[in-house]
Amino acid sequence: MNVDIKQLNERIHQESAFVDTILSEIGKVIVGQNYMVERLLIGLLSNGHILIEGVPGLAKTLSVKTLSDITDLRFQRLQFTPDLLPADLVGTMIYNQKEGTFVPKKGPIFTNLVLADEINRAPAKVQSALLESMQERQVTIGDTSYPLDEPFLVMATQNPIEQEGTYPLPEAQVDRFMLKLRINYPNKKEERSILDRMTTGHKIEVNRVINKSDVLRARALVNDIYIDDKIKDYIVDLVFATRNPEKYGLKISELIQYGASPRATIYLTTAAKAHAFLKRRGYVTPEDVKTIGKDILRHRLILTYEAEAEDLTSEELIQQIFDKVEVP
Amino acid sequence: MLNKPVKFRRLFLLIAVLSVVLGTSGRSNAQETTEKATDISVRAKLDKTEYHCAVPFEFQVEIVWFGEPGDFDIEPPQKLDLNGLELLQSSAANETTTSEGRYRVIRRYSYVLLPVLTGVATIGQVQIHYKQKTLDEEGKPAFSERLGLATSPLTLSILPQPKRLRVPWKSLGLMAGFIVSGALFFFFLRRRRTMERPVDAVVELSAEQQFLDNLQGEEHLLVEGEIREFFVRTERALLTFLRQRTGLDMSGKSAADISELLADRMTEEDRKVLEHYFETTHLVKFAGQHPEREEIERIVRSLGRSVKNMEKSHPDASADKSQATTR
Repeated sequence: MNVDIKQLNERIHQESAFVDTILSEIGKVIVGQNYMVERLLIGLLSNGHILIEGVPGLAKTLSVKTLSDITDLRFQRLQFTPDLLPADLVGTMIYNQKEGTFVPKKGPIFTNLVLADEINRAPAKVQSALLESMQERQVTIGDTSYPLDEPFLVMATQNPIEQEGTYPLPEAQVDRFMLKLRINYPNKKEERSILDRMTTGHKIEVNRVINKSDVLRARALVNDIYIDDKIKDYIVDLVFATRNPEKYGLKISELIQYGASPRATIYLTTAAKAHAFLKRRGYVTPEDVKTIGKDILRHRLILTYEAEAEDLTSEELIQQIFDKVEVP
Repeated sequence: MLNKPVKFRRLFLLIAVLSVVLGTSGRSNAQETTEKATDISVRAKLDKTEYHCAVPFEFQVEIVWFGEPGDFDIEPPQKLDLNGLELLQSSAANETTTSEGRYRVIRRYSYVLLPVLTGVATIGQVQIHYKQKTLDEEGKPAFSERLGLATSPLTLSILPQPKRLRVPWKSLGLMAGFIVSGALFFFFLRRRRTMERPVDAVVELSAEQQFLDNLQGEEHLLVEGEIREFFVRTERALLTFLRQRTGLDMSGKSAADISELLADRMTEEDRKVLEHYFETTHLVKFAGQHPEREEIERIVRSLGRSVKNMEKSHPDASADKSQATTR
């Protein structure tokens, strides 16, 4: 086992060299937002979709667009509106008058990177169509199912300030997103840098670093990353602590109505592996789990009214869990 | 005709007895409560049952066990449950003595309390949690599940504040008596030529010294090729040391959390040493690999220096444990 991990570690260290180049290329266009960019890469490498909550103007679209240029993946931006229909997303059957037959017309979802902007503005049936394709990785038009191309990553956004006339995603649907990110305004220095870069009128070009097959190969490597039994137990302990906090000495049972599902355990494991890959390691450490843990768990805890009355957020409760559960 | 050593011994005893008689006349009796479990006991004690309002006094909690210092992993006591009293300061110290060939370890937590109301004040039960070193199914060292001991509450009377300043002649007399008898005692010891039966050596070890002793004590594991066990034990000792120094529970903290917590207590260079130690520990614990022995020894030496630097730059960090352990 020691020899395998040593070889794996060296291989990962070698194969992950492109990560620094990607971050450097993205850094040419996007100022700050390293947190979001890293999580985009984690989502891409671990085959998980991302839900982002942030005010407009924080480079969400630009980040995904830049990533698609660097990785040579196809990108589609979908603006969700209340009048959107599922067919606008997945496609529909179109009548060909010449041949007298219906032919499928694939929708914009048939791409690699999808930015579903303001997903909470579309009605439930459109959300379901997107979420179903995210889960099944295929779309059915008529009576034929069409698989979606790999890699397939959906980055959905929600605007936290305009809640009027929106259709909030139900918790069961939010659970399908691997990560939920909360992004903030840049700091003063970053803002100044944005001003200098974005007001010259010149388009900043980025170089292609990897292609689709490189991404798929990297995904396979991420799956091979070694994770020790103690780390696996730690992940399970964290998830169980969200369901039975009193067994871990936490007095927050009355604040959590429902804890995280087994999906959280799976996603926490794969995301931790992806994080280890970004750090160019062939093995997972507790650091990887803790770094990515909040993004995995924040949308999976359903709080009680007592927690809302006390103005407690899921992040605060997750932090208490992290502080209490023993790190291996 | 008496010889000189016997003369000095009798003189020392006379002065010590006089000092005790003078110093303890008029003082109230001490009170204490002790709870015992297998191999370990906790004792909460006060030197009197009556105190004056607005005059600070000391309350001590002692955890005692026979064996090695590392046989028990003790958590600092929870916040004190005080009624009519205010906590001014707290500190911790370790004491190791030898008796009949065995170590007796005392972990002492001292609290300076201030009575704020006259009448009856109480100190609630002091809860101690610990894990005892044991062997797992494979015979490897492990720690038991979390166990607990609690002392009984203590009640004390708080008298009104003394109205006029009195010269504490009795206390001065007691202090002078002890200084003189102590000086004579050490003078007598230095003149002794023959070794008699073992004398109890009271060695008060700082948290830093205890950690460095533990580090040295585990080096045999490197020689025996037990690299993983070496890092598991040294990491545990390091976390215990950091908990003693900062008063914070380290069990839920990752390496990055710890490095951030120590940002104002360590130089950047020493933090990098600490981070490198943790990286190597992770490599050993979670990837089953390890650097060469020389590199491990270099890392351990650097870690020892960084701990010493931390002690020098922030000596006697008696953090307020009641605040540090509250979440």
